[in-house]
Amino acid sequence: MDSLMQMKTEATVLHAKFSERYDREPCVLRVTRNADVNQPDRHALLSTEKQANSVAFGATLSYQWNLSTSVPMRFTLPDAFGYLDEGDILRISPRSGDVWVMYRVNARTHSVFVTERCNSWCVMCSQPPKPRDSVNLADAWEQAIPFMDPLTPELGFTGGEPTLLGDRFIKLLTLARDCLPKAAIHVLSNGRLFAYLSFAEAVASVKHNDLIVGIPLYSDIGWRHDHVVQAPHSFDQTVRGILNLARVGVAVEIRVVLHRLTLERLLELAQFIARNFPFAAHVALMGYEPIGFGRTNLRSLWVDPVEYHEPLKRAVQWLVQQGIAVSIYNHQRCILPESLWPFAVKSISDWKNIYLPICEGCEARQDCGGFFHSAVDAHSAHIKPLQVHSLLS
Amino acid sequence: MEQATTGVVLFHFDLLVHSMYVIKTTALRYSGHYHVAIESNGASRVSVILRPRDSSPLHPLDARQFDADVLEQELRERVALETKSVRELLLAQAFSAMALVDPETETSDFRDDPLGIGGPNRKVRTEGKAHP
Amino acid sequence: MKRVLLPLHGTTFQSEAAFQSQAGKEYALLPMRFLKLDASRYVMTNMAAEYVIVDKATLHRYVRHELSSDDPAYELLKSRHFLLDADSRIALDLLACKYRTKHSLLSQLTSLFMFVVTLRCEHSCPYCQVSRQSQDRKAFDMQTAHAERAIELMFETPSPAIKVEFQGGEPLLNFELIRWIVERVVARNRDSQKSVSFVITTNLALINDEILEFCADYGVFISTSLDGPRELHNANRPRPGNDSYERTVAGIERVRYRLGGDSVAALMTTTRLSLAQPEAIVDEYITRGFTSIFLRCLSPFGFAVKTGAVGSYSIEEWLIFYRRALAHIIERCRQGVAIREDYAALILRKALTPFPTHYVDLQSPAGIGLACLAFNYDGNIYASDESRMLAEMKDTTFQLGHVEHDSLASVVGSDRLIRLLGDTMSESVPICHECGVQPYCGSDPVYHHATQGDAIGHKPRSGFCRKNMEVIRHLLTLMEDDPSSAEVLRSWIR
Repeated sequence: MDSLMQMKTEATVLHAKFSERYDREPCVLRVTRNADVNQPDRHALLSTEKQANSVAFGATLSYQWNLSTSVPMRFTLPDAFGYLDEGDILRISPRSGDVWVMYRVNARTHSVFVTERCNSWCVMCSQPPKPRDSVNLADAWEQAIPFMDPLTPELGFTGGEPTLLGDRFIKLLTLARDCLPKAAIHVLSNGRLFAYLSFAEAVASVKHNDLIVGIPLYSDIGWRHDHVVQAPHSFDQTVRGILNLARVGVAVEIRVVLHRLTLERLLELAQFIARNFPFAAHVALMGYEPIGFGRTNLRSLWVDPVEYHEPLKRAVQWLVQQGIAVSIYNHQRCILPESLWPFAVKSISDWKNIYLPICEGCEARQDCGGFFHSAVDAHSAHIKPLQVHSLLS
Repeated sequence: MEQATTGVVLFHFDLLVHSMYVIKTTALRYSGHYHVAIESNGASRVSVILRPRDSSPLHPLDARQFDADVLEQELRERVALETKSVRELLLAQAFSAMALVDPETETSDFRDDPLGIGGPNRKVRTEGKAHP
Repeated sequence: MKRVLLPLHGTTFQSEAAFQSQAGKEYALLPMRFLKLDASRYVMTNMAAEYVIVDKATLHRYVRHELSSDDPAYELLKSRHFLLDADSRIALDLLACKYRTKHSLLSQLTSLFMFVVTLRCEHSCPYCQVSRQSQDRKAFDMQTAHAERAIELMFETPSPAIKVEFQGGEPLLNFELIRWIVERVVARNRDSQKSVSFVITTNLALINDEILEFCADYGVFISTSLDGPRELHNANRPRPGNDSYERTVAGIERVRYRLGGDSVAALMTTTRLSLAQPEAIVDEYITRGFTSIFLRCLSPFGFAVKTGAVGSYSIEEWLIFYRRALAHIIERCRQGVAIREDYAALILRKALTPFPTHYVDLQSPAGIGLACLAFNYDGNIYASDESRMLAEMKDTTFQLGHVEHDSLASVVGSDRLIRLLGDTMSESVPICHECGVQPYCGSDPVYHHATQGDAIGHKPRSGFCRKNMEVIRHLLTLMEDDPSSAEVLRSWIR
């Protein structure tokens, strides 16, 4: 998808404010160019000047308006939405003009962002929690999921803490199972509510055939994990959650964000994971995202990856020797030792995945995961383009 | 300790300081290289007599080693005593289908969230009204 | 790394101190055992077979509840589940889970079944533990009817995987019965759908194309004996023509050529002659293309006793041999050779992974009868290979029944076997129950019965105890003190 010609240097815009306002309820609409589509009232017509009869549509969208047709709602699209395509899904709040691109058919990754609330307060959280959701996200996704391309290969549930939705969360999983039979589901959760066996059982009862829950664990020592997560007893709750999921047969992945607090005992944590969670489907060692609390606490927590090659190598080696699948996320090739390149994965959600101008001539870029868009001014001091001859040496 | 002729070694212990069990179990560890005899020596004293076996002629006994081993055995007794009930709980848990250690998380409905995992004063129920 | 101070963002984040104080000032001990490692250190093990090495002062402080939370050993002991303090109780759930995992093979019961298809053999190895009869005595072949009953009994096992091992004498002298058994088992397995593997233990002198074709068709593995370089091997294993080594090596090549590189494994036996040449033995295995070697000590069974071979060296001499051989194997690994020592790998797997292991002689309860059974040529059922070797010396202590009138349930569930296994479990016998390396050791009732006349055995005088304790100490010391050896050893655990 990234060609050498068009290196992505900015995040994809997913939110905007239309200049038009209407006194109507928020709606979730599928984008289409097809004037004869079924259920036009559930669609937003991506209009050109040639199309006329768009009265039946939920909304009509255009990059510029030369017509004076009377359609119920029409919105002028910002240039940043130039990527919109047939099958994308929007949520529009006509009274405020807010528009959110919920789903892009051409995206490499698909996120179901179900809540801004969280019961933890991680010191590096990239999505700082809000006490309540400003939008009824569960409602929006219940409308959006049936519109998604039925061949969608994967779907990630995220937030905040998705499990706070309780039964609504189970309902969304079930909906995904039924509407998207090819989709592997990846839930990102702090795992704490799975401490209740009843909740683990509820998720298991969805009987999804390709579900994995990604749960962060930041230390082998209780209070240290609790400190990173800023919630007392969360270590015990999370570990019990992991065990319960294993008991009910739901796959679990363990995630570790690498920063000053977690690097201190990284090998011990790897050993702890291997010894206590040998059933873990995968371990993801993740690079730092300098946004949200990750930006607030940047100076205290950030460590340049070139400084932690040794503990990272030891942790990876330990997990590999124990037969546990490991990946390194969010790290660029030039700042990883070559022995770890096989583990480095293109992991960043494509909308926020960019490269720096210095990456222009890099010959390893095809395989490199690049950066978070927020890392433009917060990344390793050792980024440099790599040449083929140095790769082969 | 006394060292008699032919390598026989004699220890005296005060039963007010060390239990008979500890002395015996320590002596048992030496019974590979030594014949062991234990004799009462009054109300609260015992003597432990170690006579080298023919098969181990070159095994000189260091008195301090035996004393150190007695202390080591005391440590073992202390650990065993202190951890007895946890050990039994763990064994019961290991062979039970249910989690015995924390019954509340095992049996509660997550919607009630009695432990408040979902946040302070927060039940795990659907929230959020549509905002314009 | 230095202490982290997070900015106060409207008192948004609490400090490390706030959370560390959750842990409190006191800790409780979790169940553990310990053993002196050397003059200054101890190895501690918990119920899940995890270990920690500490110096003597630390051990004492830990037991006395005087270990400070600032001591680096404190978090090590907390992480590895040797102590519990106020911030977390989940160690209890985890220990219980891990204990169950370590014992999870028990419920699968028997998975290794040995069929002694004949007692005839054409070699004359003085250390032979099998008391073979010379070739022309057909009375020492297993009958088809008995084999049939044995197969029925075998399929009663709940284990999802079974290994059928053909033993002897020289099993290939009764190849027709091997073929018959394999075909019967495969047919019988169509209903059960177990994962079945076959091994023939053979000296390879009689291997031919017909046998190889058969092995190729059914995926049968070969296990042979290779004691070391030519002179050593032939001296250990006399045969008319004195060419056992040549035939073995030719046989290995032939099997590999037809069946592939992994199809043949080799076992060695250490004799007095072996003691002086550990490096040569290891290098012989490497030259012959083997990627693993199992360094074994002679056990007191069969002709090994009669000919005095077993008494010809002490455990201490064997331990010297073992350390030298192991050092050489590790050195070869550093040079890039793929070679591993299997006994060490087994112990390391117990220590460094959460998983149980299959090796019969390093289990508690002992694996005899539970994990393995031997069907002798005469239809008698024995608790293990050594058990039937004892019977050849007129000691039927470990004979469990006969294929004609017993089932798996009656054999494995017999009071006799259960009592024997229960009485000898290392968790409950003197010294073993509190031994720091108990999780890595086992219980060997047959060995102790044969050497001391008592299945439990007096461990201070037990060669089994001495050998295991020293091998385990040696491995743990290498792991702790020698990072480059430790790196090699860690690569062996899977």
